[in-house]
Amino acid sequence: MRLLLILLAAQIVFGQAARGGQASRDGQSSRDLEGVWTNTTITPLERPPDFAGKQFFTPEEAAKFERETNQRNDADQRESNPEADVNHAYNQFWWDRGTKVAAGLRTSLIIDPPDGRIPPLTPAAQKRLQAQAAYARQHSTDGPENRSLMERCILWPTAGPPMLPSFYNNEYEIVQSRDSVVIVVEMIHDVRVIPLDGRPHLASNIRQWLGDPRGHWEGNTLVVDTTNFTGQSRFRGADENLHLTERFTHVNPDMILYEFTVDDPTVFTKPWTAQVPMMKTKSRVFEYACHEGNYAMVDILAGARTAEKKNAK
Amino acid sequence: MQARYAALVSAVIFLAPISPSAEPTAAKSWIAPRTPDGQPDLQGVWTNSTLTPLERPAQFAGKPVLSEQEAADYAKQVLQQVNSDRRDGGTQVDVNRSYNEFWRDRGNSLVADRRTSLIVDPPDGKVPPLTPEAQKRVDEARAWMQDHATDGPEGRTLAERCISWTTAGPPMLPGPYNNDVQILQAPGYVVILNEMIHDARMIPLDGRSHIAPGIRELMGDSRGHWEGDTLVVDTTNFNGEVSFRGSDSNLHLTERFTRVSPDVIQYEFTIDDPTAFTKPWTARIPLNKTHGPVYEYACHEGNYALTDILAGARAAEKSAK
Amino acid sequence: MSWRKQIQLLLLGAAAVLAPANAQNQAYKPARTADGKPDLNGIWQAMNPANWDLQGQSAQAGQIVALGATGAEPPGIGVVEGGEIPYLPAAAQKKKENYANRLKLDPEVKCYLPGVPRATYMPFPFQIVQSGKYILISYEYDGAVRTIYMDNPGPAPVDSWMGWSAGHWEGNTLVVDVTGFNDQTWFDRAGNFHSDMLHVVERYTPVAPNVLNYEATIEDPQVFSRPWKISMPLYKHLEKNAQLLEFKCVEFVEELMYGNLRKQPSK
Repeated sequence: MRLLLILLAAQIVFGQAARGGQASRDGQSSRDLEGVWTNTTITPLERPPDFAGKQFFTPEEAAKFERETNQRNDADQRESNPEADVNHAYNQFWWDRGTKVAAGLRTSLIIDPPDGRIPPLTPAAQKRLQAQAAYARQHSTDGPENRSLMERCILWPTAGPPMLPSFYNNEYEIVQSRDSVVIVVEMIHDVRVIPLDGRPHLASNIRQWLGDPRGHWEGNTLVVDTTNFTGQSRFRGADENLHLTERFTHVNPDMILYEFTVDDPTVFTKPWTAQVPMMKTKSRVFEYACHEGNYAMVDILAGARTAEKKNAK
Repeated sequence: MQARYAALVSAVIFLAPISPSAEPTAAKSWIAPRTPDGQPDLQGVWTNSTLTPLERPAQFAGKPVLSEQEAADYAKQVLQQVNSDRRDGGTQVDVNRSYNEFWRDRGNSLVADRRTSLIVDPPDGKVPPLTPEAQKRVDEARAWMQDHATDGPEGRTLAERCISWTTAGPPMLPGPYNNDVQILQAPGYVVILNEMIHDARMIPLDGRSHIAPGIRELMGDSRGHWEGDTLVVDTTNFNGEVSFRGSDSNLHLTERFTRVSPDVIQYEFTIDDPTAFTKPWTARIPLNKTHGPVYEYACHEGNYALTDILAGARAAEKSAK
Repeated sequence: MSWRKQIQLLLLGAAAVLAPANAQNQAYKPARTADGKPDLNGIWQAMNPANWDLQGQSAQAGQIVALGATGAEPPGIGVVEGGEIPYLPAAAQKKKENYANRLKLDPEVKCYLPGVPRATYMPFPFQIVQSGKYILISYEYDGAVRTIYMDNPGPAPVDSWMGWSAGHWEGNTLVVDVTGFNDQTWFDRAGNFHSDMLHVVERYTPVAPNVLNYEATIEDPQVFSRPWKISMPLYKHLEKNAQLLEFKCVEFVEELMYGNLRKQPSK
């Protein structure tokens, strides 16, 4: 198993092979992205401080990292105090955080900058985000707009874009026709229809939560260019100027190598790139009717109002 | 020979069940020209303005038709009576005559055949009696309107509310002004466009059935077919909001349009509404060619009257305190 | 050839070419995908007011005075074959109650997933994406989406709003068998509803360039005395660069659903 991972790592590190024109094994055309894929992994987006300067785990380090992470993440463990138990929220059965580091043994999903961390923010962006965070702390239960996009059932990091694994439902179904590649994101049943016919982007006054994608093939890599974001998606501070480039390459029967570059000069002092392997799964994408079952929102707000009443007395 | 084939080709291509009439109905009557798809041509702008009333006036009881002299005298008498430009009653009377004659479209003459009523059946020229239930309904509605005349828009007439005028009906009756109607024909359709209130009735000729009984319309649902040179229009599915002389939602209206000369369409309608009228009744009104065009009557968009009437009532109530 | 013969041939030709549109749908030969199936790819939309009331209705005033004519209800001829939806007596009563309280009860008001077949005739376009393996329908409304499994996916593993769709071809018709519904959706804004025993069979048939004939047979023994059917054409969007846009309406209903729980309540 470790050997396989090393081979895959070699394939990724010396990435040109993935971007060339060779068909993958089993005669399957490598322009075929269809199927259901998952990007679940415990590899963090940014390199942990413990691994500063270290691009790759050794197999032993990876195993240790997995053990420690899984122990920490285990939602079924019983803490010494009940409140900590409650804050674990769901039992382990419901989580899909992953138990393994990503194929290739990188210590971070970010591959550029070389330190594996998001570049510094511009001063203006820093200021804006600090103000937002301060406001959020003081008004966290004022109304639905003060809760996260996840709690509001509007948008999850799984959809992004860019698409990153989250707590659960990290499944993607890709369907291709002659002129489109379509990505169905299980959470929250978001559909990205990526036209391949070279049409221009939408006019700049039309903004969308998932932006407006346009795709084309470079060899066997699907390159997707996405603009027209609203600026409300809160992806690591990105604003409406986000210009996202994603690359999908079906490198072997079981994996699509997914790479994205974030370019948002009003927020990040330089562009940054991450790679997230997407592994084939036999599962089907199920319906995630988030809003329809959103008891949490009502309960959070009602609870806050009740607490206020109590404290007022 | 060619005309017959042309008609057949039209029938196949446009699937319209037209029975082209190649033979005149009587040797001496005028035959209307045909539209390209073979319908008798009713197209143009027409007006039904006339001084002849719907019902026979009491002074002509038993007299269905006037002589030429009687007609001339009567027309003169009527024109004098209705002339809103005359100044002979004092200020309040003047104001109540509202618009000057310039605005009115009464017509200057009686119908050409000098009948004393537009109604031709029953022979007494009057609307038949209402059923007891209908009479009750009409009386109650009238009383309610009187008691609530300025409570809100519902206390005003449908004409004042810019919802419906008798000019469009159907049936179509002359009104105080804007009596123009434009008829257009296309393969499979006759369209009747009434100037007031820009109502267009699309009448399909393809034999389709009426809409479901649960779907009701203010102007009903019209279906047409040709009988010789007469367009017969059958209208049902009225919602009953327009009570035409007491009619209700069971109204079954039949209209007949026959172009009898280059300048005249003979328009006849029969009211069959057994829950309202004790028997059916029929009226005939000539549609006379006029030069048009049909203008836009943006009634609701200019309906200052309704606001002023209600505001005036509210102001009067306040000052009464 | 005599001119008379020419006209006779013209009539025959005209009759053949202009056969009524509702003749058996198989007469039209649609374009095919690479794997030989009728090509349903494209952005489609129903052009009727079925979403207001499947049975059709006269026009009527809306429920929100301030919206004036923009909130008024348009008229409709109705799309139910035979006109009436055959409710069982108790269910007919529930439908009446639904209608009377539709502003509160219609799941569409709260931006809930529309279910099937309602998603088809919402006043929004949808896109069919057809590969060899999958047929996907992505609806602009609320980002609703269905994957039609063409590989005998077995029974629905769990109930859902949009159901579990299994598809196969019969001639030129895509037949989709949909089960596994919960009981939460309505068929329209008039309160027509179902239980979780709902079973829908859809048929999508190309009948002319850029036109599909859509039929849905609806069966629910807890609510209806027999199966019943709706049908309507679906028209392709032909404008250049047509695409679905986002209608993520959850955000638009937060004030409605949670406004009374705000710290400074707006209600």
